[in-house]
Amino acid sequence: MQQFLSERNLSNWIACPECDLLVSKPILARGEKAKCPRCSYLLHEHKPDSLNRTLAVSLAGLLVFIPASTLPLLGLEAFGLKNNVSLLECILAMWSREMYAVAVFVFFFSIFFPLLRLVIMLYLALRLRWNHFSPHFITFFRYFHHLKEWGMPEVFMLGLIVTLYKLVGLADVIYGFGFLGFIFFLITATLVTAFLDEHWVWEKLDEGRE
Amino acid sequence: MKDESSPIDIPQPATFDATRDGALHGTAIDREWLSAKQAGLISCRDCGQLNPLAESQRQAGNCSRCGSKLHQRLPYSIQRTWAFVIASLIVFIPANTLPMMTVLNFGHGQPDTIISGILFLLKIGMVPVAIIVFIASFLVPLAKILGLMILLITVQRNSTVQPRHRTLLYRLVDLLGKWSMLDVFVVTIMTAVVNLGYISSIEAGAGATAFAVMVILTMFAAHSFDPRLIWDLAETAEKAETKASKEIQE
Repeated sequence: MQQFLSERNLSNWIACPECDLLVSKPILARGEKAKCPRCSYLLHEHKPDSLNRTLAVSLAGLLVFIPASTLPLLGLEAFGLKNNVSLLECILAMWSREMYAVAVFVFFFSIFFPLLRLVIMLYLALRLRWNHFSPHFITFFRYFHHLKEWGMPEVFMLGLIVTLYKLVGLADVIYGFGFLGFIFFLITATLVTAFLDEHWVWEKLDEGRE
Repeated sequence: MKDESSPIDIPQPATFDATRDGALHGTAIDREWLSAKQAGLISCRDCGQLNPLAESQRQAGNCSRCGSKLHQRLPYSIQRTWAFVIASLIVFIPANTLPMMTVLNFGHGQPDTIISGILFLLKIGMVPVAIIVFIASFLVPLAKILGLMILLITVQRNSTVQPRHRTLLYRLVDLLGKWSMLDVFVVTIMTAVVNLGYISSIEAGAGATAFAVMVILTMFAAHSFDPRLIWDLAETAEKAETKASKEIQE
């Protein structure tokens, strides 16, 4: 067995992350996907023009981030009183009510992690575009996939929708531009995942090192 | 490739063939799978690079490509997952019984727990929203905890039943993880938006903190479980079966 594999270059093989099955590294044509034959885990997906798309989307996400987090999301109008809040004000409201843990969690999950992903992606895409590599870069990219697990802008969006339903019966709801901004921010955060080809990035980093 | 003198045939790693649905599915000779562990290899969890493992080592050091620490399987996966599962079950109680928020109208209000919040939505006729909240905040966390317990118990009992379905169960638990955070976000937005002084305001309760902690614990539990353990046992069983069938044929 050892001999059988050592005769071949290890970089021609991959192991399924979920069931550890050895498979030959798939070479994909446009629109193809490779699934693990044993547990059907999606191993690779062909992502055309990954670099440019990632660059464009992460740039758009960073532009839309400031309005998304600082402009009012939602507001209420009742008895002549008005109250508008932005995403950051929501977090500050929890903080001022001494719900520190919740404030910190909401900040990290709905803003910080998705934002950090976009920043890292933009930096990475720019560096790869101009072929500037450095060893620290590899260490940097290692932790990247953990951010996807902990970023939850899509859940926050659902939270906004549920809140709307709850408030509609109580008073007049005012929509702010922050609501629209957050929808765009969510779209960019989601598209980064869809466009980014991590396998390709690792291969590029390998080449850059040699 | 085959060595005629060896008693057991060397299984070939799977290779890909295109199929009609655009996905590639591997085929292996005799449906005998070969895992990286059997081949004496370790795949890096961060970048996917295969690294050779010397016979004598159990710890393989660092990945040749990205420098991450290599582990054949996640260290202490079962113990750590149990710890997180038990912790989430404990926190599940205050998360559902402590008030999430209190709506105050003209200085009066009833504290709302998750369950009473759902009942309120039903009462005002918001059935679809009530269902979404019920699924996301009550059913999903419980299902996640139960699902992980099933996985842990089957792996510990060396079960070889339905490894594929159990992998799908794990995938589902992992996927659902973040959606339970919904209620914490709802409380945060509600508290900030409904703030009209004495007329109407909302106070967030300790239940929200407990709930957030519970969701984070279930996510940690899912991340510390190593699904490859499911297949390790299935492999040994498969091997024994093929051996037995060969002997019968002879």
